[in-house]
Amino acid sequence: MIKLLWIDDNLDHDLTEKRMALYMEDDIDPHFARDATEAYLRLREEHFDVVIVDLRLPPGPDDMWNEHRENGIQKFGYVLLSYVLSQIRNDFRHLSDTHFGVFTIEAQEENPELFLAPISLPEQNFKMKTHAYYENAFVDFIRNVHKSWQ
Amino acid sequence: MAIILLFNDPDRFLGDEWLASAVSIAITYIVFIMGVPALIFQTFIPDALRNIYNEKLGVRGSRFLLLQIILILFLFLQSNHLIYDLEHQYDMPEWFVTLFVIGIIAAILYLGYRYLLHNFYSTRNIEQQLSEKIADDAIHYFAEHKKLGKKDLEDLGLLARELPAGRVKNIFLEQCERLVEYLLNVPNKDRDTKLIGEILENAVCLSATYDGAQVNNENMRKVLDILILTYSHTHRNGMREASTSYLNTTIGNCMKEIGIKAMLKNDLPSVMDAVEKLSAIESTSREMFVLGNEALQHGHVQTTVAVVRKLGGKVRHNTAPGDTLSYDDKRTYYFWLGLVAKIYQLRGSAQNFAERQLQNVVLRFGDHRDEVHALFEETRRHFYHLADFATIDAVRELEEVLFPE
Repeated sequence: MIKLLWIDDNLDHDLTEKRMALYMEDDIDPHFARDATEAYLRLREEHFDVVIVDLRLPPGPDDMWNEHRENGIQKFGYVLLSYVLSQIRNDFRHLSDTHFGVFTIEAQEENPELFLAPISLPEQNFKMKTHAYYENAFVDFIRNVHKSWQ
Repeated sequence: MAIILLFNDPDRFLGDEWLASAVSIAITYIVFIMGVPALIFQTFIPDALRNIYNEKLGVRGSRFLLLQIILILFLFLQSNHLIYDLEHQYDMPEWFVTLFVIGIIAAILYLGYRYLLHNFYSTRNIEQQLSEKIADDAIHYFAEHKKLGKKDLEDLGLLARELPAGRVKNIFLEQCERLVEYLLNVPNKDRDTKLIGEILENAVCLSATYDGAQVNNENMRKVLDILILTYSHTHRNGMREASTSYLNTTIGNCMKEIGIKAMLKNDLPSVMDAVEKLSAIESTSREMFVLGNEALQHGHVQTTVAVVRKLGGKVRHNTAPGDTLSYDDKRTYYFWLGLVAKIYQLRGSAQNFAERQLQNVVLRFGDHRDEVHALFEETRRHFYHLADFATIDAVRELEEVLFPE
């Protein structure tokens, strides 16, 4: 069973079908978060096998993002990933065997920093959102992220 | 204009008549300045908020009125012969008296203008000011007495019920969040989870679940955010188990109510959000069952599926054949099985889904068939104690299908 956390603010809009498809898969135990604060709170407390992040994520209510907010940063998905993975030996030790993936509207070339430390995302764990990206393909993407090395 | 009037006719300079006119004009002006906002206030602000406003912020208006009366009194006294004679007796320079009178007139006009502008600012501003003021008062009261003022709690409850949906209500909820955060961050010895629970229940939750409350999707999401933030804070800081248990119950119950309210409004995103957040809280299997069951009755099968998967995740997480389950884990099992049985009753494809859920969990018991039977038996007994006869029947029906012998 893959315990999944999918972090995306569009879960209730254009991603509702993918969300429901995950509930219908027997080998996936899906959990969801809509903003960086909610995701941060879940990640700090729980272990997940796979975490899928949208890069353009709202920060949510916590003051911890204020500095980035003031600097006009919009990619709180990236900020969250950097924060968690840079603390992977400390506060987020329980996520050391978690597989991280990115599912976003942006192209891979626009985000070269994702593939550098501290995130060091494997290229196959990056998927661009497109209209033609069907539910089955998305579920397979999650299974592949789970199998990936990190 | 006043200067031209004063200096062009030295004979009547600051004469009685002129000053009497100035006083009467000033009084008319003040009556207008005070009357127009009062009329708007009476017309557009609901009764309940008007009373709180008068108690909390009304003192501003009375101070302004007092100040204006004093200024007019100065003008009025200036027109009196005795004062005039007194000024001559002490050789007070005329330019000084002139400046004094002009200063008073300018002050009356300017203060009146500011007051009018302030009051015209918008009715939304009044609600925002009230929310801020009550939260500030509650914080100050707690800092002094280590408890919350009864009146502040009542006022928060009143605003929760009366404020319109949308941005205004979200501003109120932000103030509640500020108050809750303050109470969560006070030193351990002063922290009172009962108080935090009261605010969550009687203000935050009530703003979304009260029968007549106006609430939209954005407000429900905000309430859910405040609840989950409070839970995370208490969970992270390892507060005393008994007190967090009370808070968890309050938070879980509130999330369930919001989920049901959103369901009745056909607001599926908020329902799913409530399910997601509810599942992240410990010991909320009953609330999840109620929400899932209610969704089933209203035809929102997707919500029930989400609840079954969430409860199933907890059950799987907790069990292995031969394990001794805690009371809480057993309850999760009962509620999960009850909901699966209810889905099974839907027939057709729903039965496939229910069977798959059972395969994933119950069949893990393998040869321990007696444990499975015991589980069904205990589940029926559990729902009997809750007088939920429909679920008992559903569980019995499922058991008979699974184990026909």
